[in-house]
Amino acid sequence: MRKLLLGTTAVVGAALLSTGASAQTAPTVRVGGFFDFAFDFISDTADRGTQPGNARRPRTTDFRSDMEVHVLVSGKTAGGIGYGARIEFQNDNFTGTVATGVDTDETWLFVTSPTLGTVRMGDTDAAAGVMQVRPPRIPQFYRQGWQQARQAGLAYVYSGVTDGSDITKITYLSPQFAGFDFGVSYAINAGEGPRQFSGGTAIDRDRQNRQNEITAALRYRGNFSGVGVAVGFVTTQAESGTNQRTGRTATTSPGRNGISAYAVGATLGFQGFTFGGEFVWGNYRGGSVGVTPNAVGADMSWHYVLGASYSFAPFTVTANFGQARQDGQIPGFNLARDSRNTIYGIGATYTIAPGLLGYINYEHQRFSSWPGTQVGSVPRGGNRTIQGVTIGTTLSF
Amino acid sequence: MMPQQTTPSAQGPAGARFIAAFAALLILAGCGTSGLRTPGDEEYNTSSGRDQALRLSGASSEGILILGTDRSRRGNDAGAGPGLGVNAFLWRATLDTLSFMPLVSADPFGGVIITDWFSPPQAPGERFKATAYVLGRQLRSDGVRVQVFRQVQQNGQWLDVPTAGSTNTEMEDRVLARARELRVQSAGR
Repeated sequence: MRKLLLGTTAVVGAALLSTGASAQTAPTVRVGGFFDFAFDFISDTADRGTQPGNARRPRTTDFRSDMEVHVLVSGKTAGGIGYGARIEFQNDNFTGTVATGVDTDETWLFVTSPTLGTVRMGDTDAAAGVMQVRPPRIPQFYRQGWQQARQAGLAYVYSGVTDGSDITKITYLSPQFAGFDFGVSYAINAGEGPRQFSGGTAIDRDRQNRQNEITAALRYRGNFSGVGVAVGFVTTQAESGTNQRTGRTATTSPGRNGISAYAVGATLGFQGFTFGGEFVWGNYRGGSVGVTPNAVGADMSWHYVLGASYSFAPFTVTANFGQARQDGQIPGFNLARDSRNTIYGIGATYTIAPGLLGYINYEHQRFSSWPGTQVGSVPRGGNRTIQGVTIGTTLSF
Repeated sequence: MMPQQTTPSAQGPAGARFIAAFAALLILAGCGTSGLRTPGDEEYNTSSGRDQALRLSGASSEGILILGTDRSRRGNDAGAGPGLGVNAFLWRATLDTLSFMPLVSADPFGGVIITDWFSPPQAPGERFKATAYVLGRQLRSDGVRVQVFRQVQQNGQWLDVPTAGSTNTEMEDRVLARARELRVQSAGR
């Protein structure tokens, strides 16, 4: 009986592998990318009063440009298996200067089968990141811009799970069946690229940053009488690194040994409208959900975001509201109050031509009990309010 | 979740788990590979500003081909639709533009449309016939050629007379304008 079961399993396996006759194509190489130009207006309470190292307040306006160039390689084997790579070059400022250089954003290799799913290997988003069901949000596409207008930046508490973290990993994305698909990813540590060392002066393969990050995602997408529905659950689990577990003193707690985050999300779409929401919680802190441990004994962090958008070609309008809370007990520090953040905003895009967009966004953020180090005139634990207007244009090809 | 059950081949919990896994595979295979499909890249979230902006603007750019042969069949600029040997937008636009005249033949593979003689009500002593050629699979401004023939009635007989030089060009411009409309409409979907 056991042999019969094994034999049948093998036949099933072979049937699943067979994808029928398919022509082999040599890899093609394409070049794509984008160029973005924007005008920012920022009103930040951190800009008031005494500014460290500056006699005058920062300006409220600035221009900003950004670009990426992508190399897209794709081919297909005679068996119908697709393969290829994606290499993304981007411009970044050298730390502390206005000079710019080119480094890499995401780089990965992929293999994909029409019925067995896709494997991605390299520096790219985790399974939780690419499959998380999230509400529509502004900015409708990621622009670093004014959100990082100051040194020490802005706590990015509404990020997707492990968003912005392209640590070297392997990811499997399953085929879709009856509307369901899932994904898993695994990263050994928090390094990227060829790596010389993880941080500080340690060697490769050290344990300073987070280790053994496993993310998983499950989502459902369907259509009921013209209403598109998507529901999903994702999680990330990781061990924190040795330099994340510091902070133990007589009065403060160290970082936890583990990092976890969970997210549920749902969207509804019909007649050009999309409504959505997400709730995220877990033992993590700071910006980018799920990459930094919270303190031992601290409550879980959480946030929720509600979003709505309406598309009437060539316009799309999007609005958001969200709230986040993180415990005032931080590794090595105790705030007098928990950190609370409320965000709302509205934005619109206009399609000028295929690939050419104009956009305008307004966003308002209020922090009570700022969790980070002092920023301008806002001390740690103080209150901070930021308003920003961005007007820009993007060409993507 | 398999209910707890014993079978002749199950040897404790390990056997039950094996059967559960096999049953899951059977369910997948029983529904056939036709029930499985691998989502494309556009069905996953992306942190790439390029991809996000392309999705928002409705453009489907695969980038500029540098090396290799482009075998992908794209429905926007270049490409003949199924059953056509020439650009689908130009073909449809030509049919729409000449629809006020009776058609004699239309060859979608060779890209040739020939109308019958048509006498407009405003000019009963004149009649027109048009021949249109759609050239190639690219949506280009020189991708269509229209030739209009004109005859006038004299003494009960139809005699060929030359048409104004701009007539052919104006017909071609109308076809191109209509093709542009069709392309914009299909890109917006």
